[in-house]
Amino acid sequence: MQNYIIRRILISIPILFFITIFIFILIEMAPGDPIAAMLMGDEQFQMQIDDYERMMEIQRRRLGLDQPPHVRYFLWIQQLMRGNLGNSLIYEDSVMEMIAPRILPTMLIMSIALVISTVVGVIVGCISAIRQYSVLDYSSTIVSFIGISVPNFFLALLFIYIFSLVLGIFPSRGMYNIREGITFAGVARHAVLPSLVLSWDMMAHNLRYTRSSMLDVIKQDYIQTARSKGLSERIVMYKHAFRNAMLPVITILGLRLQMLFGGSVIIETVFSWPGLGRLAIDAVYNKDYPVIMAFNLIIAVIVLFSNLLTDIIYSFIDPRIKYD
Amino acid sequence: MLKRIFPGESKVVRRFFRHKLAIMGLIILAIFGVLAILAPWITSYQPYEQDFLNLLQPPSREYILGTDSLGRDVFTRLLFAGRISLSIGIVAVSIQVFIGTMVGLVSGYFGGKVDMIFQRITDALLCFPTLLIIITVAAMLERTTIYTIMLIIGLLGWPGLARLVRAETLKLREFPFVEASRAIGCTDLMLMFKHILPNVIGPIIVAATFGVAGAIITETSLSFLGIGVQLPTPSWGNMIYSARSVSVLERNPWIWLPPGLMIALCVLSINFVGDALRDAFDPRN
Repeated sequence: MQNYIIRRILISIPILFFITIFIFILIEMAPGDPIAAMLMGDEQFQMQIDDYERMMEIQRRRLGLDQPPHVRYFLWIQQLMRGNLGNSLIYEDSVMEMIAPRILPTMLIMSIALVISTVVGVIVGCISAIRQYSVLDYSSTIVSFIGISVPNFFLALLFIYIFSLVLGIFPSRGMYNIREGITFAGVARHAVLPSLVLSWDMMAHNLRYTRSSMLDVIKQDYIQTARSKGLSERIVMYKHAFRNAMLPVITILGLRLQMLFGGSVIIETVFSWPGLGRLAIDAVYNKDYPVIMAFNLIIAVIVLFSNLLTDIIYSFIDPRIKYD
Repeated sequence: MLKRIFPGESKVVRRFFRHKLAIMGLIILAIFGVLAILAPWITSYQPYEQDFLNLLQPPSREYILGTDSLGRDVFTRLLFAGRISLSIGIVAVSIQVFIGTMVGLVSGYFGGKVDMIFQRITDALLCFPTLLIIITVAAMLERTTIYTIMLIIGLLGWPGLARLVRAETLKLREFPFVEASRAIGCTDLMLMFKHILPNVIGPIIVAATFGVAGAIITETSLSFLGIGVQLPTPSWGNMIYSARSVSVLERNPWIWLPPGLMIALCVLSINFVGDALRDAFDPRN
């Protein structure tokens, strides 16, 4: 197993390499001249054309932009290693500074969504499987199909329409009331709708996945054996079936993170939630490429590591799998 | 030989039609298709025709689904948007299927270094949330049209399919019939396309069906965000764009509710069909 973990970590290195290559190509392809953008804010407007050209040339050489692509790639990686993700074209702040305050709000709704979708999805999925073809099974199947089929921006609008505009229970925009300031209750109330929408399609996926995994396990011989030993149905289901059914569900938890990030981009836009997704969309509208690229890079790396972690955890908890 | 791995076609069809929800899905999709194709003959309005005397009219006999903020007939735009959203879904997935199948086949068949490199590229692409990377590329374009949207979704959405085809190819490569075909002198190309590919068609069709649903959601999401199909060209997504203002959301539900329901109904039908297809091709699952 140790070998498996080492090999799994080694495989991540070329993946990381291709991720950076991919982002580098996108940066290279992005329209506009970064040097011109950099100089624009300063007093270069009053400069003579000759000076301006010379200035651009100096900057270009200073930043290594006159080098061939492969050299530029390594210069870029070198900067990344130092934690320099570049500067925003619009706000002149470093991308790192812009991203930092956005992490917590996004983590907040993402973790709530992850918990809701996993707990509800797994529990309902299990009951559906145990009582296959019951009313609950049919209705949960239909609800999960709808969950997968309704795009989350539309669901978000429906939720705002119903819960904010018609019923007036939850606020529809922002993270807190400006008059009240940041309070726990205020943020919690604002977080309800975005977290619910974010969890929706994931809950549906988890439900379907748990159901089919559980159905699979129930048919196994060892469940038959447990029953014939005279164990109560409850113990058979919870001790024998449930634990085994959870194994494949855990493997896809890593993939869920990627879904969450994709969903947060849309949901934070609709709910004006001040998180990372909203930052990314604003950067897209402003054509602020350094911010968009840094965002892509960070997310891809997070997803890569979470997949790696899931695989390693999985190798610990499933003793049946032999790794050579 | 083929029959033994790939159950007879009539069996597949029969198993498919056992699913009532899938039949319903097929009927709905057929209706959507007919509505999209016959759009200009069904409605008497033009999708771009603005009528400043009839802004934001609620549904009435004259305007079945009311009018939008520029006085355009919502029902007419819904029909024409269907043409665009459906065709983007289908074309984008065709591109995905082409690339994904090629990469998966070559990777699984040849193995070794080629496989290693293709796999790592696929893994790397899979680390990016699909919607995010598509948004990024769309943002780099001066102006997105329906054709660039088709291309972007097609060119960036294939890794999942490639992985699937590769896994199937790896399995099939070891079958005796492939060995036998090689022994009688089949070339690699013939083995890949005439012997292995026909046996992977089932999973590809299933994945492509779900892919169309995914592509429609991606396109409408992009258009909803304002970086997909650009107004005034109607798409189910950009018809909902105006609902981002609270006043439209609250007072004019006839503008955003119908396109949203169309997307949901369409994707739901495709998912039902896909589920039945999966069951029909692989009854063990």
